[in-house]
Amino acid sequence: MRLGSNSRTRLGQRVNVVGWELPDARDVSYTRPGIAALLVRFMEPSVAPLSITAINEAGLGDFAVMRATGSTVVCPGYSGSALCHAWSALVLGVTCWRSYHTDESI
Amino acid sequence: MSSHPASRQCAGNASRVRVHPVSTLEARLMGSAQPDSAAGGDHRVLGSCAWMDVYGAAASLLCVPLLTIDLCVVRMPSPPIAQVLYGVVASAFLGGLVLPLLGDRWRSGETGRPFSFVLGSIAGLMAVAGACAMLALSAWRLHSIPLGLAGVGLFAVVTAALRPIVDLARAVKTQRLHRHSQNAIFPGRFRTRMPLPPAVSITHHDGRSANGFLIGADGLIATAHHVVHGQDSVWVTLLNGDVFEGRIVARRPEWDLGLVRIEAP
Repeated sequence: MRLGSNSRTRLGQRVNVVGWELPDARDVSYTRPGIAALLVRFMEPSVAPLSITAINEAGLGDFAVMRATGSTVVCPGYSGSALCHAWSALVLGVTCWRSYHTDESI
Repeated sequence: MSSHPASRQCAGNASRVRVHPVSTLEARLMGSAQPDSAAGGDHRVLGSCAWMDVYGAAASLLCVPLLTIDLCVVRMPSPPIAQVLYGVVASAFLGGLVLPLLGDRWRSGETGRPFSFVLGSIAGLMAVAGACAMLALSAWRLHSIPLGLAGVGLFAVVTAALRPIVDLARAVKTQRLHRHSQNAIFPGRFRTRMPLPPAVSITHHDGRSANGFLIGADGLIATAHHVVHGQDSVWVTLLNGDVFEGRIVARRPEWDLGLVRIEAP
């Protein structure tokens, strides 16, 4: 297992979250179906494109915890999922759905 | 053992991305090393604006049809003001395409993102200036402001429509790799070239659930710290439905990272 580097990761970059399909994900997450979300609906909701909105540098060889939103496919239960490079699928970091250093639930 | 077909597929792309062995992450998380004062624990919002890159490229591509119309259809001699406008458009062309790349390459220090942000902002401003210049140029040369506006608007629509298509293509590829990875939860296929980490579901004893992913063949699972906050053990469900009790072996609240270990079958 090798981890990718997020040294070139920028805010707004599209990555893919690879998460666990939550039982009620399909019901609660499609509130604003865009074109991509509408098509992804016919695939597994466990893989979805997201946009990075915050990067918390962990100093672990460019491995980072990133807050990524922008998809209607995932919901807060996806915290801890792997964020993968859009093309190479190497793991760039861990999804942190909540705002960092807040007490929101997982 | 033969390599995973999906891993062979993504090897070409992966060669362009710097990779780190997972042992680095494990050693730093499980060791006594403290986070770097400059890099660890703080929440920084850095980076260039990707939308500026998009509109820079859009303005660059906008030059092509309008310049073609201007040169091939109108065929008017270019006065100095038109040459100035052409210069602005050409600058936007170069800025929209080259500067974001330079911002990635010329990184300063550990992250380099402030420098990338500056170049990305310059590229975005040049793109806006180029689009305005192209609008003025086309309106003046074609004697039709609506035609110039239509050209700019049409290209904005095309650009906006391309974004979800690109996202979908990326998601489909990741989806395909994900299907391959589901067949390799723990066995020997889960090696260094494994394209996607097998996702696991982490469930608290009180029923709340979140996510994690396997990073080691010995049952090491990475997740966010707030997922395992206040827990000594959690229930871990693999993709094949097997449920294990996982121990929290490392936690780094300052990085919001945690490690869970389950006994590999």
